[in-house]
Amino acid sequence: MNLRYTAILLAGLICPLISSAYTFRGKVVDETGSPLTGATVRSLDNGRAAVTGIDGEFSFDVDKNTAKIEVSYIGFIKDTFILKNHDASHVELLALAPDISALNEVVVTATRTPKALKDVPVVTQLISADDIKKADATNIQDLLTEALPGLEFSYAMSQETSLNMNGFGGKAILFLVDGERLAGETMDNVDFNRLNLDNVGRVEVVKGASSALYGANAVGGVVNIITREDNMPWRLNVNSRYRSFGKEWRHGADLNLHSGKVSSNTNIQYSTSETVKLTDAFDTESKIQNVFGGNSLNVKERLVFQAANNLRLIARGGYFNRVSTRVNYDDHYLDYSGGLRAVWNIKPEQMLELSYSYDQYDKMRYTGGERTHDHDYSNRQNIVHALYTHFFGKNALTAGGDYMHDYLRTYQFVSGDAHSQTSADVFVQFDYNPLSWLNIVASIRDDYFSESDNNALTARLATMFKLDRFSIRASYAGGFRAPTLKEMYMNFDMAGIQMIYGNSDLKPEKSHNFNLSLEHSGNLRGSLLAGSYNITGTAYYNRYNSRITTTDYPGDDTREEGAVYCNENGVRVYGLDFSARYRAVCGLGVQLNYNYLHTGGNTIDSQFSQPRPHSMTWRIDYDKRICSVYRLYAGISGRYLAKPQSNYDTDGAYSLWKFTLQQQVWRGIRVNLVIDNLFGYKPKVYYWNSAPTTGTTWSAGISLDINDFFN
Amino acid sequence: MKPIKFLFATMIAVLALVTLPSCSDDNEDEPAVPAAKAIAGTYAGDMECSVMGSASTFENLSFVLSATDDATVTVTLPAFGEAPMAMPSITITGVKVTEVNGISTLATTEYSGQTDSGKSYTCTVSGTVSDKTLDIKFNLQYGAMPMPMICSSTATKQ
Repeated sequence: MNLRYTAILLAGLICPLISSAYTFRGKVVDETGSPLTGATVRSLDNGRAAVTGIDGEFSFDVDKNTAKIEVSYIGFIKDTFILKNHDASHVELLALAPDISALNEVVVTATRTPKALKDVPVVTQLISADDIKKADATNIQDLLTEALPGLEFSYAMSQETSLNMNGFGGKAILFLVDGERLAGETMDNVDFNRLNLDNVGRVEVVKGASSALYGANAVGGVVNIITREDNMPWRLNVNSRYRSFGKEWRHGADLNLHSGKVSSNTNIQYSTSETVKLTDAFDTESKIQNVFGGNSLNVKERLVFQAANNLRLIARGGYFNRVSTRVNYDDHYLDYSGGLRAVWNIKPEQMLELSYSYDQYDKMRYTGGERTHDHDYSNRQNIVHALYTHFFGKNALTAGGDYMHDYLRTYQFVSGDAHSQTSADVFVQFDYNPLSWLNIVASIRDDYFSESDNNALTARLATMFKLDRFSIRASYAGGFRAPTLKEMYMNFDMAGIQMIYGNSDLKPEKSHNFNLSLEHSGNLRGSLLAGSYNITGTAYYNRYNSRITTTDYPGDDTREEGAVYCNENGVRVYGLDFSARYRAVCGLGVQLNYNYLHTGGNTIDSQFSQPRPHSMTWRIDYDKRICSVYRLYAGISGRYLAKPQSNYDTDGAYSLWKFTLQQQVWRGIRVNLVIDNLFGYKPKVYYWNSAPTTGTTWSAGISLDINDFFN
Repeated sequence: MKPIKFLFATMIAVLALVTLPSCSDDNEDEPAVPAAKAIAGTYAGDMECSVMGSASTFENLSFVLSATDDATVTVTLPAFGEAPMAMPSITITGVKVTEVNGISTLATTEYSGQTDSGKSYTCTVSGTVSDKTLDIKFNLQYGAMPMPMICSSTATKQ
């Protein structure tokens, strides 16, 4: 009996202890207060783990009346919390700070293989979908202007856009959409109006040369626009915006459908604007008097078919139509594009990608509704790519080749003739990770161009050292740009001012680019200002030879005097990029980007494109979900541009400020208000690179995520 | 109320009697010439033109102002320049004229038209005429030229 009694007594003492497990409940949210679904919550007391549900909530039992937990979620800083309140009805709110360095985001541009940003040995600037939404930009030109210092778009004659990035002209910057080149040109690059942002998932910018991976034109940098992918059953967004500058209207619609093995994305955007008079009609000092209006229609379709578990087929098509209304005529721009891509994961460690791409960009002029045929232009590109990647543990071998047929007919050739060129290349890259803190990527590529019978061999060596929260990156990269068909065969009477002649003996431009960068990321805890920060500094040096430019042509028996294309040596560009960002859990964010640029030798200095030694962009904002249906974003951003280094009469220093207010007022409904040029800056004289502003302007827009109405 | 109305009407009538003869006195010797007709004629002078900030001078050109009604003139700008930058004569119709204290002002007027050869042009013109001297300036966007020509002249009546 005594034994039985003792056993009962012990059981009576132990049972309460066993059943005294405490239940803790919590809800994981981001810095705006939105729930995070799928976050991992791990108890540091007993190792148990839970995953948050669709409402961001979790619960689990711990034997103690306090629980120490660790919460992690991709894109956010892992954080530790102590829960004290184990009342079953209490839900503890746990806010994670976003990892603004986005170190775990996967990028593809720097190495042509998917790689986490933290592991990329070349500094890559990532502009996320959220950044794009906050900028409320219509096209890539608007977005980059706001996001990057050292980059400037300006007008050129006939109001074509001219680009300068870190001292390089637009021809030295390669723009890609999902890794594909674009046909056609305006002043010195592609038609940026084609690159609207409605269905863009992110933009990756790699400054410095990348020709060892991308070939021609990747001399000063690569901008890769990546289309958003969506696996929701359906998603529909319609949006509209009015902007007082030019009485511009912009309307867009984006439809995603996903069912079984097939998904589709259809995007349509239409915009229209009126001509804005910048100056008095009799202003003889200003180079630019009007910002011409017009309209543009952009339609894109993308179909993805998961043919097998390891085989994905992607088809895409696009149509673009822009009309620019000039004083006595209208210029029309048309583009038709299409492509097919197959991504085959042969084995877990082997991947093969094959693609074909077609792009046709046409220009024509109309007077009084009649096509004049004196400004006809057509550029057609057929491109085939092959890319093979083999992973050896942490290391990867990438090899590939490209073939391109480039056809150009233009009024700038003799009698509107046509010329074509074939180019082909092979490249190989090895991504070597011998130690957890060391990464070395070596690439080499050879490109051949049929028309100039030239080839260009380029290489890149990039290394990265990781030390705790510091990363050091150092790289050498070669760049080149082959002479274009226009530069080889031009025979153009420029508005009766002078003749410009092509030169079929041109050599490719060549550049050598050295980069050294230091990045530090971290987070602040336990205070009102708890959050994360990222600081990056990059020093760069570029030596640029055989740059293609024009020189005086004295004339001969068959050709009158004018200008002729030639090669010129000795451009030197060096400088510093600095970026500091901070985002607090409370919703406050601060960002500052600065660029110092020094150019020497025969630097790029035209009346249209002039390097500015100092430039800066900044943003201070507050982003918070106030309740389940209301989210507030308010920000003040700006940019400063110093007076350019130039031998021309040029613009002075100026700064522009912008106020943005975005509100999600109900499920899926966002209302935007932007006041641009807050302090009413107006240039005294409008040079080609002056801000094309007449003072303070505003815009208002609405965006409806229709699918959210039903969630 | 009636006496007040009567008084007011009487005052107006007296005022009219006093002022009307005085107007008549001013123009007793010379009947008024409408502003447009007063400045109509041919004016000659040199012209300076600026294209993208670079200036050129063209000598001894003739500008013609023809009155289409009392307050409107047609401005005919001279042909100038040499091939391939030769500009034909351009006509701008419907330019309103006002006269204050002997100075006639040609209202800033934008006009689009076509030359005899079918080239489109858009021109904004403005000017004044005083003491038989025409100060005229115009912004001419001719054909497919991407930039405007901004010209000015001081010309005297022939």
